[in-house]
Amino acid sequence: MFISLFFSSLLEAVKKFVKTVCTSMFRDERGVLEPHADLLSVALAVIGFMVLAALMSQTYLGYEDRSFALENYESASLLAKNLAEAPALKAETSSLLSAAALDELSGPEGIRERERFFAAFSGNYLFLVEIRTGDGQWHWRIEPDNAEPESLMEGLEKVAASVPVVIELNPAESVPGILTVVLYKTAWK
Amino acid sequence: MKDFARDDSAWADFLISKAALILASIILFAALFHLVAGFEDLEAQEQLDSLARDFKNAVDETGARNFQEESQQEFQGEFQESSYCFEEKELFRDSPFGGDLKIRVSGEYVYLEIEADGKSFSAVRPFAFRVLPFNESVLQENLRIRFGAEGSRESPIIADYREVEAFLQVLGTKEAVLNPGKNISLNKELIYVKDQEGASAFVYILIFQ
Repeated sequence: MFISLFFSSLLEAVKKFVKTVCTSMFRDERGVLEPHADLLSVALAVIGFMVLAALMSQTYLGYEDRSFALENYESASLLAKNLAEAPALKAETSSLLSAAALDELSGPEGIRERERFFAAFSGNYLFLVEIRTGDGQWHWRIEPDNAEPESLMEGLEKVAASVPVVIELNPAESVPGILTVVLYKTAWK
Repeated sequence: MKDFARDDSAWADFLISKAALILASIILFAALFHLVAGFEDLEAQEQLDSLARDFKNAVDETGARNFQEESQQEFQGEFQESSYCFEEKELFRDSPFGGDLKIRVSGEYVYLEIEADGKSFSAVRPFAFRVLPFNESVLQENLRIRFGAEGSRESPIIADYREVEAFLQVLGTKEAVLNPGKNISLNKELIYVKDQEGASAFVYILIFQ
């Protein structure tokens, strides 16, 4: 009861104050604000312009930051499609990816095979190839041997593209999997 | 001086505030025009980047083409080398560059350069596949002079794999200037090598006019 009375009296006081201020402002003919109205509008225009310029530069910087991924996803996708058809990864008797060929290419003994596998691509693109079976049981990683160890580290800027593949584990068993090309940012890009 | 001090008509205030307004307006408009001009530069640069990217993608797609399909087509007499013409591209026609566009291609990159309104714009894009900036006969001649063989399936190069690779890399450092008005041929080529470890082939894309 007291609270509602208090709020209604408070509301009345506020209304009275606003009315007084508005009436006095409209009836004020001293013109305190009048000569400086154009200065205020110019100041507002300048502030607006600066905010616009700041927003645009922020947007451009954001685009620049993400341009590597935007530009290179297409290349990664093209490489992934190309590699899924590469004869070096395939079994001799079928058109499926061969686990034996992947073992050889990703293992320590496959230096010569890796060198020839990456020889088709220009040195401008630093990438590695990851192939894993759908159930995650098998995983192969093919890296170029001439790449510096720190150039393929986890924290670096990169973009990846994947294509579905079928992997022949042995002549009697083939499983679905994914081939992923991970493209790393180099000095070129 | 006395009159000046007693004058309360505020004409000096008025003049100073108007002068400040004029000055501020000039600066504001100059900044706006500068921003618009900056956007035009950015747009020209973006168009040049798009053109370079489009050409690079055309070259990479030629490189990514399946060899089995190609050899079958070649066997059936249907083989066609792909081509690219800047003037036929909508990107180029919509751009303000015209025939002043300079195109340079090397084994590593495509470099586009244009001068517009006294400003120079350039765009560089690297290729994903190995490229040589000349035609098949120049390549075969170079290989014949250096290794005594053309590198074809019938006449493979008999030399160390790395030696051939290094030689082709050096060949790729040459730059070719291309005409945007003429067709550019993009031809995928295999260079066969036989060494102690067996036979293998280099895949190269030849770019020429």
